Amino acid sequence: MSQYILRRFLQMIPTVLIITVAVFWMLKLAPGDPLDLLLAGNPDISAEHVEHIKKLYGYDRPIYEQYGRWLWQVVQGNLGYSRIYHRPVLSIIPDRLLNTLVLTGSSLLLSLLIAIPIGVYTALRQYSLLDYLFSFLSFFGIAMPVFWFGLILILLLSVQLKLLPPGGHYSLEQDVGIFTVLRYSIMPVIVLSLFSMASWMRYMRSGMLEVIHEDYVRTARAKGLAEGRVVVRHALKNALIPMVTLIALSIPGLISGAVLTETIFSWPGMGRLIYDSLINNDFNIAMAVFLIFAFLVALFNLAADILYAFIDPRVVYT
Amino acid sequence: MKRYSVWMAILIFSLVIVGCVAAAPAGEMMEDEGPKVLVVGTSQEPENVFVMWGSTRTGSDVMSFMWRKPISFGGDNQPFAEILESLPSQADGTWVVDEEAGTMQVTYKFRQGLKWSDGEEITVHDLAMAFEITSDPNYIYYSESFPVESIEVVDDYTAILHYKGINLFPDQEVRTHVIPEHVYRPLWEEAKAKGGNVWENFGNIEQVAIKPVVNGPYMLEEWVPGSHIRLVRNPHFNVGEEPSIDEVLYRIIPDLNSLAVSVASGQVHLTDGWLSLEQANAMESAPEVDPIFVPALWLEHATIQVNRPPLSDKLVRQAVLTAIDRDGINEALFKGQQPPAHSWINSAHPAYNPDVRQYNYDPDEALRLLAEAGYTPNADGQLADSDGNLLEIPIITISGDRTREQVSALVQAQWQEIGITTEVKPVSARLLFSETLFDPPNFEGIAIWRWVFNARVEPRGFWYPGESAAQLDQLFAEGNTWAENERNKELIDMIDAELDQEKRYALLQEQQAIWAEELPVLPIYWHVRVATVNTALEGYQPADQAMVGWNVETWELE
Amino acid sequence: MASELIQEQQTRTYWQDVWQRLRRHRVALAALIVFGLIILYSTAGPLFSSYSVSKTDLRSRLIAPSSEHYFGTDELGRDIALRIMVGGRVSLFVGFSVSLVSLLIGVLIGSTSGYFGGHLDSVLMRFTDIMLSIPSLPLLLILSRYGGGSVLSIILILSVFSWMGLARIVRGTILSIKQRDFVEAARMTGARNGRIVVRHILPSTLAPVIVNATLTLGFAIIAESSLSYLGLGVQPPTPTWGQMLIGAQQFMETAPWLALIPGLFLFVTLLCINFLGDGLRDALDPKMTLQN
Repeated sequence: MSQYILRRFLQMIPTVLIITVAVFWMLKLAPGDPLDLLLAGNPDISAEHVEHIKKLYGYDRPIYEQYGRWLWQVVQGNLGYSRIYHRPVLSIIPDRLLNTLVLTGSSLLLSLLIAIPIGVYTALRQYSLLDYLFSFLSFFGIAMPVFWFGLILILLLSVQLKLLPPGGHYSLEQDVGIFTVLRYSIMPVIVLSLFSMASWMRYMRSGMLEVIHEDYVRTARAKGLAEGRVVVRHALKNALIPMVTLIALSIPGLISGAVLTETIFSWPGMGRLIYDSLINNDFNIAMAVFLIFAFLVALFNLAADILYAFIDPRVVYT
Repeated sequence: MKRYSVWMAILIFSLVIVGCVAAAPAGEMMEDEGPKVLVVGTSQEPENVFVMWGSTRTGSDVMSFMWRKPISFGGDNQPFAEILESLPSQADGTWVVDEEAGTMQVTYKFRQGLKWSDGEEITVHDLAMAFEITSDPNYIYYSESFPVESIEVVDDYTAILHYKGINLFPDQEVRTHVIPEHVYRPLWEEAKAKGGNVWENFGNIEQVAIKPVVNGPYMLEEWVPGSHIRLVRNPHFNVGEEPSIDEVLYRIIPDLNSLAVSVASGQVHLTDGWLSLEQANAMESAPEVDPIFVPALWLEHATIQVNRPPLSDKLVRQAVLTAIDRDGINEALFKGQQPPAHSWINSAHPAYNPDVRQYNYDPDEALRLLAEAGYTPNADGQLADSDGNLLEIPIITISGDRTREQVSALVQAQWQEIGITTEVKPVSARLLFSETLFDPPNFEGIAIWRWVFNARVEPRGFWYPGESAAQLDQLFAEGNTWAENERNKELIDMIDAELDQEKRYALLQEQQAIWAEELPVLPIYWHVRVATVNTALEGYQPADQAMVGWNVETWELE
Repeated sequence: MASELIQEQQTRTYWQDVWQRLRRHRVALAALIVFGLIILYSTAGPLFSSYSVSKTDLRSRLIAPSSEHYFGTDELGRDIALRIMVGGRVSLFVGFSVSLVSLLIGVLIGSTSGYFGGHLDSVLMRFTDIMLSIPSLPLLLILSRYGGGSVLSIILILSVFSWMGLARIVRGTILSIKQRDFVEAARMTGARNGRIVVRHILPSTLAPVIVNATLTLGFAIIAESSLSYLGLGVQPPTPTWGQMLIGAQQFMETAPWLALIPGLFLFVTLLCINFLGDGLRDALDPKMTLQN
């Protein structure tokens, strides 16, 4: 097993490298660089000066050379400075990562807490009235554009009822307690949960549906075990196996995929960071974030496989 | 199976309870008698708060709370001496022009006893320090055409600026900044010693970009990227009165709808220049928010491909402008607040020429002009020249700007009405400024964007072919009627040498008349800057030339 | 000859079966009808409209729904009903195209991988895994810098990120049926690889592929609206439902129908697509008969 993990770990490296090469090229070849914009914004600056500055930033070198330099710096542990925040990239990312984890972590938890029981229930009561109701609700979650749901929620809870702040991050408050964190994160968490809750509900339902018609569940029933025991011990346990993998695989996406929610609620997370860095040509930040994503992707892929092995004894790794 | 329903009900119920409990303290906190915090909303994050380095609008807005300049502009759009004892003038001999040599020198005297936020005194050495950085090719905005030759320090409070040429406005702007020399000299030397990209070395120092030593009423306490900037009082501030507001909290709210909601719900006291006219007008339903519309010298205009047919023909330019219902656009979209532009100078400015040729909406006149230029309707009602080539004018617009999209759609519809073949092509600002406009061979039709003028109305950087700003330079440099207009160049040379304001205005008026006849760009409308102020805030006095926080010391927050 | 005939007959009964099951799934049937009506409305509607999409009319702006403009007009005096139709054409075109393109890519990669196996399989699946788990939104952001917001570029960008699920499903199904008798038999009789895949294997993977393509259609429509929200979607003046909805947000108080109508169309369409996908899943899966 440990050998397997080690091998997979080493396999991660080329994957990560390929991703960074691709992203580096895509970023560099995209039209317009920050210095052109500088020139556009200031009529007094001469073209020669812009060339001079470009040389200082190394923009005149071939791309592979620029990539080589970047990689060499990264290997030495230097991710560079953010062009717009003027501080080391490594001093910005941890805070953002934490903010995103608060948001996506609680939303994952919330959506699973609600989705799993409902998914189980609707599978057991397929085609019942409640099944249809929850199907409708979950499709509602899938069909509702995030930006639209977010705005409606703000108008309702912040403007009409004046219950919650209409966005912002809890660090706005001087003393941050658990209530402050909750007050600022309730709405974004709800918005973020809506969609994933709907998908988890569907996954759980279909997973459960497959399992309850399997032989071992029938056998358990036939043995006369209590219904609740059959559902929990036999069906649920087996239906959860593919869910665990899916959850592990969804985490990198959760970390990056909150751009819309973070924008609506002015939440300084990773999604917003990557968006801003791309819009503002903050190259070092963008590359660092993609590097982290690439690692996370590879890591959680590995984690999913290992988890699978732990839960499902049938899987053997060689 | 009932048990599941019960469990679920309990779960959902408990979540609701948690939600309510968490929401409850919201009301109490607001009434808390804490420090007075002014909340300012912006949708864009500044890049730095170092006075020599402002490139974004939020940047300069935040800096207006942190930095004070030798000369500032007030709510009446007029300059006043702030760090200076008085404005230089030719009358008292502090501004001496040597017409023969074509140079001049200006004496600036600083007020004594003014303090930086670290308690050190502000002196003219701080002016010389900024000049030293400005004249270094490593400086990011370095320019060989910088007008100041050298600075002569007479004593701690007196400096003489030697200008390379004759510059008309030393009483409106000291061309260099003021930064504390005792703080920044060692840092600058250190950055230079490091070698390589010196400006990057310097700019990445926390004390430069993020927490500078300042001379304004507030200094930066905390900057959480992506969330907010917290400014607290500068304990040593003595350039002006002591402010009554304890903290200024700049909140970064990227979504404009969210920003509008935050303003309407009283979470944000002040926004300046971010919300649209539409959003500000919708504030009627929020009684505690006052929208303010500040007239500005921002010209919404269309840059044109003047070097190739069809727009190389002056008549076509005049015709297509006549075919735009600019008054209609103003009434419909802007409630009459953003009037059509007839010249590149605003009608509120004393140099404005009210008698320039105006192109009021008249489709028949437009058709007549186009017929004169050789374009007549073909069988399908499309305008075409005698060879059957359609009159085709694409409209390029910056994507992501709602108002600009609307205006472009209206221009498109009105042009189509009279038979011009046209379509709207949205491009990103990045693309427009880096490729489209810089690449005249590939630029077709018109590009709609905004120009920000200065109250000093200096025509050279815009309208002098061969010397205008980068985007126009390429367009105007080739052979076209605008570049060939000798009188225009002559007038601009004269305007730049004329020290008498009245005579200068007269020359500007003549130049405007030529401009309006030639139409090197199509003027569309004058912007207003839209601000929203919560009634809890008093004393906010915006003006086109004044910075947001120019008089923050006198603001009161209930 | 005879065997082919039998197979054809089987196919027909299978489809009749599917139709029977779908008909019993009343919600899915209703969704199919409503979705069909929306498609019809968007595609055929403009032919009967007396307005033109780019025609603005400053004298009749922000008119509430009335007999003349039954969905009202927008802030430039354009007929919203017509913009809904044209926007619908664009949104649905984006949806269907992404669905189709990702279907082609997915089936191609999935079937190649599953059928040939070996090294090709592991390379392709490794690639699929990477694509599947790379957070797509940041990459969408980078790619959209190249496209410039044209409909075609949006379709390409979205397709690149939506074929992976399909590829996996197709591969899985093929792996499981590759060993079955009729494929082996075909191979024995000397049929070429391409023929085996097209004639024997692909039909068996049809069920999951159709369901997945339906859901991709929904995904593409909502993804386009999300890109529009970030300013990176299809650019105005070309309308899409998502873009109309976003533009209308600042008129929420003064002219709520501006947001309500495109919002409703977007919402109902997605609802229909998902119900339809759900119904199809049940209807296409032969196992389901056992459960009913």
